[in-house]
Amino acid sequence: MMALIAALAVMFSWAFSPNTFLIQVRSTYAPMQFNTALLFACLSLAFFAELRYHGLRDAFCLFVFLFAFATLSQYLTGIDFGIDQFFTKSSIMVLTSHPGRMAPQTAFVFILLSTGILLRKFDHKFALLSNVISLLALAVTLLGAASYFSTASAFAWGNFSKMAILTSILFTFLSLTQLVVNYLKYSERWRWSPYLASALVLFLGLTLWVTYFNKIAEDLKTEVHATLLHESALIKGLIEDRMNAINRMTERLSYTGPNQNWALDLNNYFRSYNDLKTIFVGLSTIKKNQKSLTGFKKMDIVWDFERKNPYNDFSVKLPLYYYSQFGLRNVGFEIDLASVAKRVVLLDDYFTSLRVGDTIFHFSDEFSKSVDAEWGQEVEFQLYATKVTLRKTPKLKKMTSNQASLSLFLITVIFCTAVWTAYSIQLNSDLRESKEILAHASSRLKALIAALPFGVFQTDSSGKCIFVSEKWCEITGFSPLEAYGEGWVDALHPDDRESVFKEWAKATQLKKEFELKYRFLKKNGNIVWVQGKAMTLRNSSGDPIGSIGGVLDISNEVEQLKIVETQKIQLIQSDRMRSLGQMAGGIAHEINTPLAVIEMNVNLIREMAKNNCLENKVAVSASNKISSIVDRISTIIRGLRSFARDGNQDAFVSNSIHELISDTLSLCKDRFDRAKVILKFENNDFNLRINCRSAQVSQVLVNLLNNSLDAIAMQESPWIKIELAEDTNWVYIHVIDSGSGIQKSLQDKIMEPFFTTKEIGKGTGLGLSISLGIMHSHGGSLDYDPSYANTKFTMKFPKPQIDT
Amino acid sequence: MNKPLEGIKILVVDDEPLLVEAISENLIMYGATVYCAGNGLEAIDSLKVNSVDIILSDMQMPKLDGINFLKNLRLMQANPPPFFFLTGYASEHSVEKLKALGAADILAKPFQISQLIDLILIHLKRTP
Repeated sequence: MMALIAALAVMFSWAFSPNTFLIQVRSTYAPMQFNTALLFACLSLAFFAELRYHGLRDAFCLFVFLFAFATLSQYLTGIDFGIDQFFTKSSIMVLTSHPGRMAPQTAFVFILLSTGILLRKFDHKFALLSNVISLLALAVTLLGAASYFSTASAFAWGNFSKMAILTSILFTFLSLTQLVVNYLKYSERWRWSPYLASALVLFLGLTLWVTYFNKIAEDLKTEVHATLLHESALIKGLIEDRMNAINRMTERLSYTGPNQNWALDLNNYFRSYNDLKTIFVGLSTIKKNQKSLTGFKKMDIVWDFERKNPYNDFSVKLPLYYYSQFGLRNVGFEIDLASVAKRVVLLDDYFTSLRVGDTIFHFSDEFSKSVDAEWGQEVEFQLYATKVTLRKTPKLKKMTSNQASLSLFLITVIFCTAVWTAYSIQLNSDLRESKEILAHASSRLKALIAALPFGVFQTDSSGKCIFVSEKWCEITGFSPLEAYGEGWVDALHPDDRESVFKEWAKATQLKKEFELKYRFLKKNGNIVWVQGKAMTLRNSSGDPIGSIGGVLDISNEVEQLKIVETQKIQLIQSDRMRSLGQMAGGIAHEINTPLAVIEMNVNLIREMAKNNCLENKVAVSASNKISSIVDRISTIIRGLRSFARDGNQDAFVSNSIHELISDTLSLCKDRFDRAKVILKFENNDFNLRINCRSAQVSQVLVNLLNNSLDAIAMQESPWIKIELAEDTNWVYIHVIDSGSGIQKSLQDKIMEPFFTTKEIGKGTGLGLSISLGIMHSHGGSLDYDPSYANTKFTMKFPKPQIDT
Repeated sequence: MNKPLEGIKILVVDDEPLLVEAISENLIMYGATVYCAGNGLEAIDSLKVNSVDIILSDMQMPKLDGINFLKNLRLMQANPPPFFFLTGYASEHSVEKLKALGAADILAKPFQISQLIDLILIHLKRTP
């Protein structure tokens, strides 16, 4: 019935206005074609006609069969028979290329179903085949339906359109109907078909459940419920009717047997049934048994009496039928009268036979007509009997197919509900667990941020601050509110703002971490040096969603560095002073001699002048000597002064190397003399110049000379040689002493600070390392030459490039 | 002109030629006879040839410095003439030590010539 309605609806919508819901249900599903709807209508009518009009049924089935066959062959042969355009002329756009043509699977299933129905015509001969075909139809249908729930394209049969969802649904029902009908007819052959049907129903229920859960469940439930209600109302009415009939009959019979209360029992019994039990009892009478054994017609429906009717000459016959919405004549009931037969009677649709024990009674047609007879009217009929072998009846209670479908549907419902409930419980507990984990992680993170020794900040993708930790506020002196958005910029030291932005932009562009040392300016005017570091936060697709970073207060380190720098300078100065101290005695001595010369010459002039014997020649000569000796003193003083100065602040100026070396040597001369070291400085190139800080170069030279002196003082005839050399890019001052070189193991260490081979207190070990530092700051180097036989140190200066 | 150093022979030893020259001219002006040497060795060679009454010697000289010159002299001669050290670095040496070595006295440069003359005369009067 439903199939018919649905089919009609689809046809209607195709014909008049494309209502996409009716046709397609969902926009991604294939629509039911017009022809499909047409054929569904025919099939449904065929089932309808099942009841009465066998001829009509056959006609419809045949029509369906031919139509479907034609369609299928269209696909197979590629020839257009023109049936697509039979009913619909134009192509209505609901995502289909052939508005009339149905999917090949659809055609195939139509063929199967119609064949199945037709086969039933031939009764039980093709029963098995019919069932198989129906099952196959069902299977194909379910595959077609499954194509909507899975991604396997095999169900869509290549490039052809999918079977429409409505089509699948309707097919399912029709196939099932087919199966059940077969079951009804050929239950002997197909005993387990209810279970098979049940299994298939179960499967269908599950698949439908997945998508149309509530709707279909509701729909089906409502429908079945309505059906049952209707039917039970019907039955109730009929029961009452029959009960009255029994009463009437009892009266009429005037039965005075031992169980005259039989009718009353029956009455009571009926009353105690609830309306879901389909009890429909009709009674008719037969005359005294008349057995005549003639030929028989094979029965395919039997009923059993397990107990003999104690009322010997009274048997209960049961014309049992009612009409259901499925268009079937579903016959069956269960009766449990103490004294009468126990089991069901399944009659064929023409109500022609029954079986008692191992005898089958075949009624003539008149008996069937007794249904229409008046009560009390006598109906004569023939009864043929034949003996048959009783088949063992299954112990199991056979459910009515109705009950079977219902109960299995309920089982499906319960099962799916259970699954869904379990699933959602699991989901809920997972969710709760996740929430808990998240909460834990959150609080851990908060605690961690608070415990970090540096301040943490977070910005969004546009650089606006969205979070600052407590420590950050401590460092900058800004409150979180003041820092949010663009506020944090005000915390930066004005001089550093530009460099911070520049570095930030560079880091963003190059996709590296941001790292920079900069200053915050606190509100009270204090400056805080920080090391800032930040990295980009990305979401799961890799897009930047902001940054997170930290600022570490490095004020202490900066202070330390400043102190160290200062100390370094002081160290250089003190080293120089120490050298100076060493030289002081010698310098004093060096000046005293020239002073004595002056004194002597002055005395000469004075005495002679006093005695009037001063000759001009003598005066001039003495004066000249005085002048030259004064020059010498100046040189020493000059050398001393330039050495003593802190040359760290000097500019690099061009100096004559010769002059530099000479001045320095004059400072050291005394020490050389006292140590009896012969000093050789031979240089003819007075034009060689370098850009340097003379004080510092002097310091290096003094250091080297002192080292040499210390090393060779014990020798027999010690000497120190100073040589100059130059090439294209460099100027060299070689300081060579009569020592035999430095041990290989010590060569790397001598330039290290605090390394000395002298006794404690004799040397700080700093001289060479400071000298090295000075040479580096001049762009040159201080090297020891290990390949030279004697100890040779080289001061290397970059040669000043001549600007032309 | 007063010539207080008349007849006195003096040896002047110093590595600074200008100073040797200047001292010598002054001593000659005061009537002395002066022999010069640039260092200890030259002085010893000179003493082998010449006999002097006074020796004036610098302390720091190449080849043979003042102190060693004195030591050698004491080895060479039993009674060397009065030996005066002329030094630019007076504080470095202890006067007692030098006197113990045999020096008569120390003069710190720069000195007045009159100081020198006085010293010479004093020490010469002492000697018989």
